[in-house]
Amino acid sequence: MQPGADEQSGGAAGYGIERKSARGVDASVPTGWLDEFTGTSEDRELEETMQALRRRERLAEDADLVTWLALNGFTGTDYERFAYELVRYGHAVITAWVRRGLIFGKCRDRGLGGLEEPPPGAMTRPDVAEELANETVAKSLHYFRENVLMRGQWNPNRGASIKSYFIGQCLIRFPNIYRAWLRTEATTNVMLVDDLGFLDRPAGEGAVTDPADLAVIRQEIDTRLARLPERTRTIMVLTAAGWSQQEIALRLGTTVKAVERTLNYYRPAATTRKGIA
Amino acid sequence: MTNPLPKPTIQTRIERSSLGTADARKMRARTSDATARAIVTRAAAYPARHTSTKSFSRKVGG
Repeated sequence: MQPGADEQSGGAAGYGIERKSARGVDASVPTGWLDEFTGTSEDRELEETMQALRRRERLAEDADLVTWLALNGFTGTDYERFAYELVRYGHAVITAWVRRGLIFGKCRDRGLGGLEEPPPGAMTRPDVAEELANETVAKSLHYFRENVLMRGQWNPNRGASIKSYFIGQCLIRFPNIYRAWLRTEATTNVMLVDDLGFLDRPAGEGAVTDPADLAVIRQEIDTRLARLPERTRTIMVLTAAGWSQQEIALRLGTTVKAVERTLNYYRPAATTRKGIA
Repeated sequence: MTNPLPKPTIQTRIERSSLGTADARKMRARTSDATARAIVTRAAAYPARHTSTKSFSRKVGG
């Protein structure tokens, strides 16, 4: 384009129609022409063609990135940086799908169905989504490197971008991780219902030991937080009884981060509405 | 003699790739640094599978 063309208005014969990425109006093209063109089948075809070109461009950049990482055998700081960004993307996608329950449909679409229904409300619990997403993405990253990248299994000519391929890998790994979690969850629930006595055996220094005090704590939490999931109430009872997050995580077979997130998620609401922490 | 073009950094390569699209960037921003680092560390801790050339060639009869 000639210098100063942006400032010109009206017709500028000889200027080619140039479509900007944001579909902005080029000052060198009479607006009337574009109005007539907008919404026509040619316009849609042009848009589709440009989207396809952009996809191909991204795929070429994906291929360039993978080739670059392969030069160092998918090790070193560059690979770590790539893995880190891939994980950030994969974790966000999988967490969102788990929370909304969409992941079951996604797995089914890929022939990975047959998964048992989750307990009611379990998928919306922040600790559950976090736990499932963490394990799924970590395991997927491991296998993605070993089975896909190192063996040259990803091929840009097949049309899937590197990020889509990674999400596909996550969907492959999810069913087994979910089944293992479901087994643990079932065991934990039985334990919580049948073995409440463990609450009377607090661990760690400075914990509440008087059974009467513990009964008061448990009753207080049971009454005021009756609508919360059993597991969350257990975490709150144990916290109130002086257990550390590490001890709680160990007891419930989950991670410290999951315990911390559960507390952070529920405690402010409980404090505001009910006046307890 | 003209200076050769500087090689793109890994971050530039990532942003040019499919991980750099607007949607992907938005999703990436949802996961905290600490979580991402913990997952990368966890992934690295899984035992590596034995995929040496020798055992592979034996499998394919090489």
